[in-house]
Amino acid sequence: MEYAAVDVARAQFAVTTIFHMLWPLLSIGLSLLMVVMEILWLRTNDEIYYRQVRFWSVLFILTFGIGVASGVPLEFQFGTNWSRFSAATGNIVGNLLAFEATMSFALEAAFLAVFIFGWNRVSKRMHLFSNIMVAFGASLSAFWIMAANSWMQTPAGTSVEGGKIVITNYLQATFNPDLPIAFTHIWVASIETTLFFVGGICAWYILRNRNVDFFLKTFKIMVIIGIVVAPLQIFLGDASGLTVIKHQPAKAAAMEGHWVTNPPDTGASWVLVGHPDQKEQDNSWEVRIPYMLSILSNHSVKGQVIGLKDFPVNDQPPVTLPFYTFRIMVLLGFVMLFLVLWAVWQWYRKRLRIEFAPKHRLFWNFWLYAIPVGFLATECGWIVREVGRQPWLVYGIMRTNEGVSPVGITATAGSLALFVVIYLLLLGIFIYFSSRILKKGPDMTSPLPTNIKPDSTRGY
Amino acid sequence: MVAFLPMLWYFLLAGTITLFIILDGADLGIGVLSLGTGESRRSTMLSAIGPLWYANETWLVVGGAILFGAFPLAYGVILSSLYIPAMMLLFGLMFRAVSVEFRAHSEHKRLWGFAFGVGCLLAIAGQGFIFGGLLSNLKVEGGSFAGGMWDWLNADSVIIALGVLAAYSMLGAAHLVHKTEGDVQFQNRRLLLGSASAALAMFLMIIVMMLLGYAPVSLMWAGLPQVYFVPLFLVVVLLGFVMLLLSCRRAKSDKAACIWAIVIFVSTGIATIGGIFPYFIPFSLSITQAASPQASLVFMLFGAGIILPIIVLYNLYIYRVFSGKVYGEGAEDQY
Repeated sequence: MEYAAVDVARAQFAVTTIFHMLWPLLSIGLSLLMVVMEILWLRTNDEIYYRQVRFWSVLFILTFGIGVASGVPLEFQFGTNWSRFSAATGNIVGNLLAFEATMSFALEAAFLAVFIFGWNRVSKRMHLFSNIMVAFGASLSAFWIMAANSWMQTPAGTSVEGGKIVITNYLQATFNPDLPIAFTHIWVASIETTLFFVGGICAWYILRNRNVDFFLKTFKIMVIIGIVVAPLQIFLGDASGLTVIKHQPAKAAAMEGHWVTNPPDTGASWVLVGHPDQKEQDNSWEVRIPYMLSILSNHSVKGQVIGLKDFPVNDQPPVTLPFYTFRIMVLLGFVMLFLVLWAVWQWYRKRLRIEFAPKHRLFWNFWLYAIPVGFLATECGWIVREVGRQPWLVYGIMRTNEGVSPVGITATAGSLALFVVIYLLLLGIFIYFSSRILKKGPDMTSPLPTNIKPDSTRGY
Repeated sequence: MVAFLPMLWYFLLAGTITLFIILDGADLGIGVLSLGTGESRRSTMLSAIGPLWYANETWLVVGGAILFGAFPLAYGVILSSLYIPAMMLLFGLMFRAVSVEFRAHSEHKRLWGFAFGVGCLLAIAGQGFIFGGLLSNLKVEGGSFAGGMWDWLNADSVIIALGVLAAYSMLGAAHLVHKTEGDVQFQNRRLLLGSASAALAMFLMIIVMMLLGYAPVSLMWAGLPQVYFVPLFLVVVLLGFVMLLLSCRRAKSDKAACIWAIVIFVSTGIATIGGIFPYFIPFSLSITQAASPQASLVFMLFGAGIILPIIVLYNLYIYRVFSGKVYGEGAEDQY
């Protein structure tokens, strides 16, 4: 009975997190894009950049709205479904979430009002400032959320006294070993995800020969960002893997389907593809590359890599899910790098000019269908991160089944069902409305904002 | 000195929740009122909350986070014992948020307008049952909730929830009188009169219910120091109601009703908190019991506490940017 209640609570957290994550990924990236565009507008005084801000802001607002709607339940879910976890760790996880709410979310939500509705009410500089505050709030938000989550991965500054978790050093707990790489990895992921979302939309317009000038401009900015971000993310992924090996060897072994520790003076081979079988504590089939795992994990040919069998079965994370999602994430990371390089090539061959661009249909179709790639890669990465931490809620300190609320399974299952239905509905409606926004296209005619305050009756 | 930090955080939390109730309560009340009006008036009503309701909802997020960080025990107990009302609040807020966004893009404005109103109603019901539930003698054993899933649902909590509904509608109507003019304003003066009378009736009923039904509450109110200030603030609430009802008759000042509504809410808040002090969850969990360790509260004070006044400042700024009357479809043309 209790075991099942834990599973339902976990399923609810998984569903709400996986759904919620889609939106901040996009709103962090879009907010940064809009800052770039608005700065370009104020610098060059070129109207097209103003139109860019306005066009992308429509999608941004929709994204932000669903992000808030799906994020607020998450904040309270720690209490509703994980009250024992909350009572035990509120003095660190709760603190960090309070920082998130006060330092970042409040900032973002307030200045969003000026950003959306204030075009004619504040000066251009003040508007840019609001835009920057929205973007800064969004990114800072991710930082604090990752601080809380990475403390659960690599709890530091903590001691356990008489079954209670006591924080001995708050700075160590906040800036725990996993935080720097975890935050950078996901922050860059949100930029990369947005880059492919925006790039795909540009491709859609260019394929239809609509507003080609407008969207080539956006696309080129995306390519410039991509040249930096796509290789950087692969590097960050590698660095992130090294942190996992150092601090969470069981997770690393599960990700790689690596069962037996390699004896000294031999290299560990890397499972390229295969199928892990946790019952047999082995892979049922596999394709191995000798020495590769030692090279990947230790950056040396014969480095020791701890296998999963070194951990008692009840301390092992589930293997199948992390194993596959990890591989999908890595593959997609390289797909994105390839697409960026292809775009650079096209640019170099002068195929990104207005008169030639729409002809290269294969290229644009690839970019169009790459819209979900970033989302998919990030979600896979998150699954690796969270499932790989099991059976721990706070790694090495608190097990997942110790943190759950004394709430009956019916209530949890009922609310889970409701979340699933509503989230599917929201996703469907979002796709419907955003495709309508896209069909309508950017507004190229409305008057530019004037910063004369309208009379009191003509508001908003 | 022993309990200085828990008390400080308790009052910061109370202030945050009060801000949420007053600011977002008006938004939610407007949502409920909008259920009974036509489409063109609803647009004006939505314009009145348009730019600021995200910022107002922030106070709930901030309050929830302070509750989690400073009073983890209460956070866990309240949310797991009041699981169903909490879910009502969260789903209600979710409905409201997406309905506003989708309405702006849809031709089926009536449908999304309706969803918006229902979302607001659900969020208010959730809040009402949370307040009512907190007074339902929740059973706490060893820092964990030990009662049943439906303990929050009883005659008293239903009455409190109805009172909250009437009060939020009053707040919404007062806000609309302040922010609109002409037709919509005229209609809301009438709605204000109705909802304020209902809120007053419910208020009196709840007071009587408290004194008769909850022996511990009446004992506390009779003890020191409560005997001095709880009745005082209850009188202030009554005064607020009288002045608000009077302001409905004289159409001179559009702001007066809003101010008196705020007086009513703040005094009710002080009387409530004072009336159950020093308990966090009445009669089962005290403020100091629920609090995080000292070091955690200090850490939070530097990280979050000093930010709170700054949040108030920039919210004042955006309220100033969007001051003045609204009308028509205005809010939508920005999308």
